[in-house]
Amino acid sequence: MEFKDKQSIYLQIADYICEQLLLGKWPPGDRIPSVRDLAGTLEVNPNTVMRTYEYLQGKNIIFNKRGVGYFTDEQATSRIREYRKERFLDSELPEFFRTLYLLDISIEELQRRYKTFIETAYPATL
Amino acid sequence: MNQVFSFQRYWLLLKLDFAENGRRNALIFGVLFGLMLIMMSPVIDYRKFGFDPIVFHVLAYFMITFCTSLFTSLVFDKYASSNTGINAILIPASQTEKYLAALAANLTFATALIALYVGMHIWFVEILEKEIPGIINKKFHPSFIQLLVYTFFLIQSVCFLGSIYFKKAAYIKTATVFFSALIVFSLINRTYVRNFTNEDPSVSAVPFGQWNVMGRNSMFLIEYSQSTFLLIKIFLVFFVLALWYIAFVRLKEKEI
Amino acid sequence: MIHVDGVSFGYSSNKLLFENLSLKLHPGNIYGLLGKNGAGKSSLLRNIAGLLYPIAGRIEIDGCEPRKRQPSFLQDFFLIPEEIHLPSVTVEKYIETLSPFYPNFDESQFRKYLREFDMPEGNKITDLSYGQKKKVLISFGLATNTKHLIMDEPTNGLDIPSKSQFRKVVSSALDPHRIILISTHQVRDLDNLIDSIIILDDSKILVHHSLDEISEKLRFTTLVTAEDDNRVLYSEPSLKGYTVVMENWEQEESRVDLERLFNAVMNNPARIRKIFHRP
Repeated sequence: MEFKDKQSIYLQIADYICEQLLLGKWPPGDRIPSVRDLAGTLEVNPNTVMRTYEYLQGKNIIFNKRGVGYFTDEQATSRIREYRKERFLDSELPEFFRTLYLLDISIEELQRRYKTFIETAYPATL
Repeated sequence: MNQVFSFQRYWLLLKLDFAENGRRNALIFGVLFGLMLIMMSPVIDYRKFGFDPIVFHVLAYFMITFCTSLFTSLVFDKYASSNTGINAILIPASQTEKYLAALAANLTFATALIALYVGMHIWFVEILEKEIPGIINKKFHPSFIQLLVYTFFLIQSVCFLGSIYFKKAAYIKTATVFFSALIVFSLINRTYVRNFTNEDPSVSAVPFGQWNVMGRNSMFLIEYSQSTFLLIKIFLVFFVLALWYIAFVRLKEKEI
Repeated sequence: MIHVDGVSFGYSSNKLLFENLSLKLHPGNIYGLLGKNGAGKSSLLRNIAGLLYPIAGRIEIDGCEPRKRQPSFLQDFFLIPEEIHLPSVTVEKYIETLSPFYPNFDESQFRKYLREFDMPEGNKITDLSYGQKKKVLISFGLATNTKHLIMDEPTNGLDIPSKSQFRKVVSSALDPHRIILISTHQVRDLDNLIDSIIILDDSKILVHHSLDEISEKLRFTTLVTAEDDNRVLYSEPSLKGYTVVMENWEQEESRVDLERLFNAVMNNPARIRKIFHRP
């Protein structure tokens, strides 16, 4: 796995896990790889993966069955969306606003472009 | 857990040494055995080439003493370089076990070789005396054999110590020290002997040996008394043990 | 636990390589030991292994003093030195003769690691290349399951794919009872693998912290301008401006970049000490 430069590793691993869940690779309610296995696969320190698991457990995305391992929560996907939204609004949106401001792009223009984007990318949802 | 000696670890060490050096040691032993056979063979009549066959028996002794001393000086060879030394020190066994394993392997080799030599000498001379007419009373005197064996082990234990004492060119340094000590010792012995005899007659004496005093018309031997001689032998045994002990201490304090 | 307490060492007593050095390493962690050439990393490791004796101070590993070289200590200790040596026997013979010395050796683990490293089976060790020998030794060392595993420049001599295999193998070999200490120049090889870092320089330990603690105190990021910002400890020009190491006043979590951390520490040891000084 290619890690990005800025963000701390345990959060990047959290994103990776969430992605697996959203893509359906790790179905809800199923067991996910052990800390050691995932650390091996990603070539990272197991303690880092442990920290990620604890973090995701705190967000109720995964849970720990003692002596068995970690499992994805049945409501994992909705919780991930919630969590991702929160993260987006917190950290990515200000960055985005900053660029808008710097390049003097108006909200009206943005709105127009957003509409076109949805129409071409996700026509079925209209 | 016993931190000093356990038979199980000791056995593992011997097996390890055998796996690493067994083939090499067997090869050296085989070559030396072959050379001894050729030199001491009762089948070849060395008189045809103008030699007394027994001269080769003496030469064979020098040959095995020299070769075994070279072999012995490799005992702690692995502690000399850091790559191999680190492995040797960090093998999970006590220093005592490692030392005893090295000593056992070396002593087995040396003892087997010298025993073989003595046995071959006695047996082959008997054959010689039977087969080749004119050869009689060539067998070494038991006290001479004793001397050979003592000297052999003395040299081996000096090399044993030298192997751990010197880091580089252990053999050359050991030999230098050994021969320097021998010369100094002989000179002291000679002055000591001279003190008791007149300046006039020529006296030859080796340390711990008998004195040959040669007058103008006469020659006589001065020997140590039985009990003194026994003390000398005991001293030599202790000397060898002391050399081994110093080697042990050096091994324990070896830093890499 | 590895406890280095006030240790001084030098090859001669008037020229010390390090002085009054103290460290405490706890199980369940992978420590990275960094330092410039000649900073004394290898000597420190050899002191810990009991191969060299400290001039002053004391080293204690789970209650044993390494310099005594007792079997109980050695059974739970494995060192992979920078320059390795393996006897000229087959790999099979090697494990047959050496593994019985290590009570917790696990042969299936050993085979697994060899497979992970793409090692051919049944080879005589002398026929292997240097890198392959190193892989055998690393696999063996990990499979001994000793509580203390020390590696001095383990990725030296490994080719590019093996470095990633190395990280995989080491990360899967860590367990809560184990201390893994890796010294290296190649910090990139240890990226994401270590969780604590020790930086040795000029006979002192400058940093001895977990990466979590470091990311709490320092922030690794890119700034448009690095001048006149007194939070910045170290900066280097990059495409987007300056990549910097700065004091983390905003408590933002960033990823610790070992190379930049090392440079920051080397450039500004006094300030680093002040930042990490615990009141």
